[in-house]
Amino acid sequence: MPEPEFVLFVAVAVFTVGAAAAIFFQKSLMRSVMSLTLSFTGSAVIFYIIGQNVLALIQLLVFVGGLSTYLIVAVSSENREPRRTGAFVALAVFLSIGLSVALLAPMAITQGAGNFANYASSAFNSYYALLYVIALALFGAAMASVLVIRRFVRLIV
Amino acid sequence: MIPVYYILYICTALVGVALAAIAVERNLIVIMLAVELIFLASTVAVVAFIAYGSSTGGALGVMALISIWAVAAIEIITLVAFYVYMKARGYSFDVSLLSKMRW
Repeated sequence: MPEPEFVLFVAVAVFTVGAAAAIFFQKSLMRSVMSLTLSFTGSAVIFYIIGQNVLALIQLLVFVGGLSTYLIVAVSSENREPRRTGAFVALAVFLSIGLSVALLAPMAITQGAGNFANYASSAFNSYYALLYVIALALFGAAMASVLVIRRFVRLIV
Repeated sequence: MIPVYYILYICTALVGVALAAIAVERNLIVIMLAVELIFLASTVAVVAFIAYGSSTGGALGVMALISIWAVAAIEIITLVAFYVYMKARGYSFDVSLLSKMRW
């Protein structure tokens, strides 16, 4: 008999990935954004299940409550036609399984199952300085995005 | 406690779905939403690292998490800006019809 926590986790995992796939299948862009919002919500529940309550709260407040609402309001009027559903499903299944095998199997063999945290910790510590450079570059990209947005707003207002 | 590999399987599934959408879809907005899914997958992976890692790794993970959140938030705002701009100018959201990036 599986534990209730595990059953809940599997249900939330299926819900999160299903909502992510539903982004592609919706005819209305607003529904696509709502599917993305549900996927964010599912990820917040996953954070809660693994004991990261504060991060789950931030995920809910910032992404579900703030940015997703902003996005829904912005793109609420647009419709689109879904296309090539069969190709999408086949490619999604192939890529998901392929990535799992390619990325996770070698880690499981060399590090032992469940040692992802040690593996990630050593990788983070080895590239500490590089991470700062990447963080600064991302900050620069974010500021550049703000400048681009200001230019856009000036053009259309 | 949920095994960490199960959480990583969710990440690879999300990335797989997003990559498939990027490959197949032509609507610019949906492609940007798929990119947002990749950010979500990386967020879940880093939170798993924080939850299962050591205290030092957790601090580094939070730094990485804030970076990912910042870029994901900026991506959403940029997406809205693109949408408003292209809608106002009457541009199509079909990426196969876009031929230049000038503004």
